Amino acid sequence: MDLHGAKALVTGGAGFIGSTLVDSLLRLGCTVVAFDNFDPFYSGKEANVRHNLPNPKFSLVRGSILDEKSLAQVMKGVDVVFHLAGQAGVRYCIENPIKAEEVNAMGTLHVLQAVRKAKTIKRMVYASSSSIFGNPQKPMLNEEHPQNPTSPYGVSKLAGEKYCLAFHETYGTPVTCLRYFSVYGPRGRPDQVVYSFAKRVMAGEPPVIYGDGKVSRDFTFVTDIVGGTVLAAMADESPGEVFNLGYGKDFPMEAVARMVIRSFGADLEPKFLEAYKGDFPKTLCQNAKARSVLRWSPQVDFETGVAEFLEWFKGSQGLVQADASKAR
Amino acid sequence: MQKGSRVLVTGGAGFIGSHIVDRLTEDGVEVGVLDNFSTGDARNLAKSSNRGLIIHEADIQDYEAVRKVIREYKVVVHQAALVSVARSVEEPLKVNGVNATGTLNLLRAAVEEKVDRFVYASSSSVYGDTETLPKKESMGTVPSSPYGASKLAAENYCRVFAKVYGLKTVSLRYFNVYGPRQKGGFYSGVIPTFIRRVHEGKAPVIFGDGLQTRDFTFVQDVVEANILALNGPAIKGGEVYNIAAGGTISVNELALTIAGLLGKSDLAPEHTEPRKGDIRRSYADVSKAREELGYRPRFSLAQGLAETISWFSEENEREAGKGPAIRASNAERT
Repeated sequence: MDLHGAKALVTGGAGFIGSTLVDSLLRLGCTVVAFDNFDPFYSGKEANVRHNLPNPKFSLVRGSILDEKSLAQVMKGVDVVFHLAGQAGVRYCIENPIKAEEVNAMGTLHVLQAVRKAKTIKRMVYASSSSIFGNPQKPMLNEEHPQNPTSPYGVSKLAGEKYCLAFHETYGTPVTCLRYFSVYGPRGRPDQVVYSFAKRVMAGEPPVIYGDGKVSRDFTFVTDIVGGTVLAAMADESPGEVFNLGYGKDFPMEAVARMVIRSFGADLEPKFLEAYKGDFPKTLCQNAKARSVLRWSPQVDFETGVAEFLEWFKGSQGLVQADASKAR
Repeated sequence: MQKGSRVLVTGGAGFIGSHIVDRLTEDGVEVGVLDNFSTGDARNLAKSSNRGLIIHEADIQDYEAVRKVIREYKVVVHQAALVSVARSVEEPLKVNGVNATGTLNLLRAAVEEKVDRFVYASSSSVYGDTETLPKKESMGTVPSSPYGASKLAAENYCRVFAKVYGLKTVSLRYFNVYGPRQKGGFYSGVIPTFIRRVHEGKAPVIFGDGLQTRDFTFVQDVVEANILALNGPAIKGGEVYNIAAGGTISVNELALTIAGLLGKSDLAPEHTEPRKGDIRRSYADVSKAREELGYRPRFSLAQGLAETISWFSEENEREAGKGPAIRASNAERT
């Protein structure tokens, strides 16, 4: 579909990826509604959307995807829904599996139901995650790779995905699932690995690695993810399909920690703690399907992306802490 | 299962659950039933009620209630669910609430209360329509209905709870279970619905062209699989097994078979619109359950149908007092 002039709803629109998507959609000529409950999981999200508040094409609605009425309200006249709201954090969800289920599975069902009932919606995109795969059985993960998540977070995200596909099959809901691979970048969340390394190193403390440091992830820069998300909404062939969105190169945690240490010019050694349960050794994305069908081509290599993230991080620290202390 | 372990059967007043309860009480096991009696029926527990059965009326969506009940048990056999593809198409949120969130509540409570083993009733619907048959556990899962998605989510929670929290879970993927006590109707099994229709002298109604195939599994074989999963010494946790008869029949052939067994071969089935969410072909490879659990399905479709029909016949006599009983024609039974 043509996004120029379209009305877009972004759930989780004040979050890390959501707010970056909002910026991109506004640039593309969309009218954008950001829907977010400002969940206290982490603070500082107000700063992600503040710059858009004066824009007449932008509106911010506080609400929960678990609230049927406000979902119906916010979907009025909407052409395309980007469902990015979710309970993030693999480790957090191990402690709070019900929260993961409630937000990621039940919440997605609420969004799907609302989309079904809304008359104007032509497309929906669901933000899934590479953690739905669990332990890789092959070196590279393509879309058909078996899905055996190893954590409640992965199960709940996979459930959301399966509901999207079942809705496409059953009711013809025009929904596309995108599996985001280890997204990082400006506005990142404090629980994310690059962020947590940077935070420790900046405070003069060694970055903490869970496991032996060989665990690797296919880190994908947020603007590349947003680009793929926009392309998925535009492509005619994408409804009912699943796409892996990952840069296509994996970095071990120890290398990431050393990269961050180096960039701060710090004299520190990473600290190794016991691996947490539910972790898995590796993600490496086979992104051929997104490249051929969506014409997606990730641009930002890891070194460039980390440099860009760190520039934002250093500038943001005062702000985030001020917001956090206010919340307390 | 250790000797003397008390077993909690969720959904124990339902079709499959009550058969498991009967078998366990018959074997002298102390059994509790957790059921909210929304679709379960106390009459299904008539046999076990004088064998010291404990009944807990509670909803698996109520975590605190569930936790209080589970505290008394070492083993959980989780059968409670909203079992209907058609219903899930109409009420996906409700179905997810019971099937996924409800299972998650039970798993959490089982971890907190240190349950030794947790057997989960999964479903063949987690597969969706696969390109190859028979369906194997190693195949991908692409459920084509919200029901299948909810059962898959719960099954995945079972797997993860074994890995992350060390709970010994086993998931049994049932393929189209039928037998005595199964209710008929739009939301339920095709076999009781056909039997009732044919008995009433009406043609069985088939959704779609009737060429869709199923692997119909008699409830006593499913009971046996549960007993094996409860006792199996090699359970590491997180395993998934197909439980089926391991055969295949089209719904058209099924309708003809039932009409024949009831001596009404002249009743040609009628066809109506296919239902949303229904899959096309289903047929299980049960070799994993055979090798690892020692599972051997014992009931052929003809045997199972005969048993089911004779139960319906008794039920009918009981309910109607008089009225014509359903009888399987002897010629077709052998």
